[in-house]
Amino acid sequence: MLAILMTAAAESGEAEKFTAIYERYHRILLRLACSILKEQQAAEDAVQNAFLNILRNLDKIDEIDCSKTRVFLIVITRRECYKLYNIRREDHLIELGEDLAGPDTVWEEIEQNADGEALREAMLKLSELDRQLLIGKYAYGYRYRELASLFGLSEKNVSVRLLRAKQKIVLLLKGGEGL
Amino acid sequence: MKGKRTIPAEQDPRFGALLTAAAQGLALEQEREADRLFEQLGREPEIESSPEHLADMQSLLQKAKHSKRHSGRGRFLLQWAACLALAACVGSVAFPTQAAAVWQQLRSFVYRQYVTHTEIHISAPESEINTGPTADEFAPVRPSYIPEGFVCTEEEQLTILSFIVYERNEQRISFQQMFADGTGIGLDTEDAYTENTQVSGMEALYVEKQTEDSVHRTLLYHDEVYIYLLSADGLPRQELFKIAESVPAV
Repeated sequence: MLAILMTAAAESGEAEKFTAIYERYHRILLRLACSILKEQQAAEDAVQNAFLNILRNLDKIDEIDCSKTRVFLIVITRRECYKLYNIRREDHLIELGEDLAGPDTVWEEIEQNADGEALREAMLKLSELDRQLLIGKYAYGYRYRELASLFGLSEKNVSVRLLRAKQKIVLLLKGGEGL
Repeated sequence: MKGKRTIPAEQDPRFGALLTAAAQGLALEQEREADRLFEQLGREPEIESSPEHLADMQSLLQKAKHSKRHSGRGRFLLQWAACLALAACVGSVAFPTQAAAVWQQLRSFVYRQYVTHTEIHISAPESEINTGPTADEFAPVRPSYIPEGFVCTEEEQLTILSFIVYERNEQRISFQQMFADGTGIGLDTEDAYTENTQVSGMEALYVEKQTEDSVHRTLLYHDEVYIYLLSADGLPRQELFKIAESVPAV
């Protein structure tokens, strides 16, 4: 009896967290999904998938009512909306067999252009998925496996995308189109 | 400084530092934008969810209540918390004055299976109490066989228990060893396949539980001094046994 009690107690924090997230954000995320997909049935499916993903990544949410969590929920919900309609104009998965050779540019070639604002602008030119991967990795410190779980990619794909994203930024800083 | 020039810019630490700063800036922008968006969406007319969607979400909430997803350390700590909690229970019934003692020559492991879980209680004659190794004599062991490709990602030894985690892509193996010191263990066996079996001649409980995207297999077994808990996601049963059998006898 005690075993189940303590197990339940240890887990109830997570279950309570999930319930609290649902109660606080479900309706808003449904509106967000509806605004993207323009169709309620599809939006409901996307939101359900988003909550499944949230459940899988619950440990990444520390505080329920905070800006970081809201970004997290928006990113996940948008991603599920895009996945649902297979909107991959920019976010198509990279084939793993793709040639990974990047530009051989060295730092000195881009140093003068590589200020914070230029980097920010370059990041904004990336696809949303690549940008979110970079933000997740460099701002929030997520590991590859965590990013893979969040975005429904393989770890290999995450690492390839991150490398490619950085190479695109380098090209942009160098003055090339990069994208 | 020719050597330095061979490092591509995207791998240069200076680029990494700038990228981190830029990413943090964008993250802050996103957070402010998210706040604005949520405020705006919160003001918009309510969308009535369909009954099917609400039912699905309720089902998901129920699932969350029974979810067993934890990180390696989190899962480990949860299991250890289980040991400590059950130790208090067992100790208070069978050994009211010696609950914290470390034993040798355990006499019985009692498995009690409930709908949602299985409890393993350990008991020994009072005469055996305090005859075994003391906490500072804890001798950790580890499997000599680990499937190819797995690497050790976490390892910790505490006073009377140790744990080690191996990972390969999405797969994880955790091995824990703890003194069979009057504690008990609660294992989640709801909707799981369980089997009483043996590992290297030791009494064992095998649990196989389907998770959302994999199969979680656990082997709990013991000798006269230690309890061993071996768990893995997505690893074949025979591999789990092979790992367990590779643990050297104490």
